[in-house]
Amino acid sequence: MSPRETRLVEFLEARLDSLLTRPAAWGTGHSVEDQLLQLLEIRRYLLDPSTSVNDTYRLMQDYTRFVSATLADATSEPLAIQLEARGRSEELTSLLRTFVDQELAANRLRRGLWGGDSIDFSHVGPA
Amino acid sequence: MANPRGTFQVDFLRSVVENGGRIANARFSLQRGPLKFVEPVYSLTLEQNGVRSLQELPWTPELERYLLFDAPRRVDDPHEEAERFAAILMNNLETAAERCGKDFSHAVLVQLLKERPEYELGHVLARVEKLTAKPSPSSVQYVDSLTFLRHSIDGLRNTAIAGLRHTPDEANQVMTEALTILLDETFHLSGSDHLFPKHGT
Repeated sequence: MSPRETRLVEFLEARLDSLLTRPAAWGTGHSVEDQLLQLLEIRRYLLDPSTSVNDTYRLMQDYTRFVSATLADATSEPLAIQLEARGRSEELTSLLRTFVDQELAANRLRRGLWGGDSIDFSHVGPA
Repeated sequence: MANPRGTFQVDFLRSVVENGGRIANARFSLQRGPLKFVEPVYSLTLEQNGVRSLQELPWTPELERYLLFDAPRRVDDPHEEAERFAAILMNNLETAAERCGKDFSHAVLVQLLKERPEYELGHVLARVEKLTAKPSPSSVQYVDSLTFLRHSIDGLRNTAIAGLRHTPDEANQVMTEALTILLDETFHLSGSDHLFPKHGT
């Protein structure tokens, strides 16, 4: 990634953190949910070279799976609305944080060329 | 997970050797520069049936393992060898950072190098020590990071001697230069000097 792209990813992550730390400052639960998903879509687009402009649905697919695994009888409506209908609106931020954490861990920012595939020297004996 | 590009590179080099070819010259560059990420690349002159061709191969762990362990090949210029070793160490430091966090693993690296007077890093270490916390040596993460980084540094030096046929003195010189580059890139020392030059020093 270029330094400029890296800065953009860092900005997205800072904004995600802000949305989750002070959600009330960013609007209603539904609005916060939308903003988070858009930021995550852009972040994944930047980090995953195999993503094209037309197939960003993969993030929404993952999110739908997450909501289905989290809520019994989940529908395709936004999580904020479904929680509100169940009288569980206060759980929204922590559930969104869980999904964001999963997404950040699954698609990590790798600086430069290094991807954590180390060169193993543990088998090398003394010279 | 295997990197397809690295696998292709190794398959290609193996096929050259199997068909009687060889690596006639090996060069390496990190392509360092102020305020940019490094872009390490091998430039290998391959010779097959009396014909030479230049191949530029971006650094990958797979390619490096091949050139370190499977078909050991030193880089012709010792300064370029140092850049190559720096690439290996930067890669492994990134692994440590992914396991235990960037700041922590960097601090462990500094602690480890302070105990290695054979590498003349005093001036750089004095500078970077101010930028790191002192990690608690009693934590599991400390022991894990220290062991991993120690294996990386000692294993690379031993491979330089046993596999790449450097003399012990040459190996120490190359390692010293490589570790200086590693610290410079890790703590952005040159970048910082470039952005905030100190006048009159």
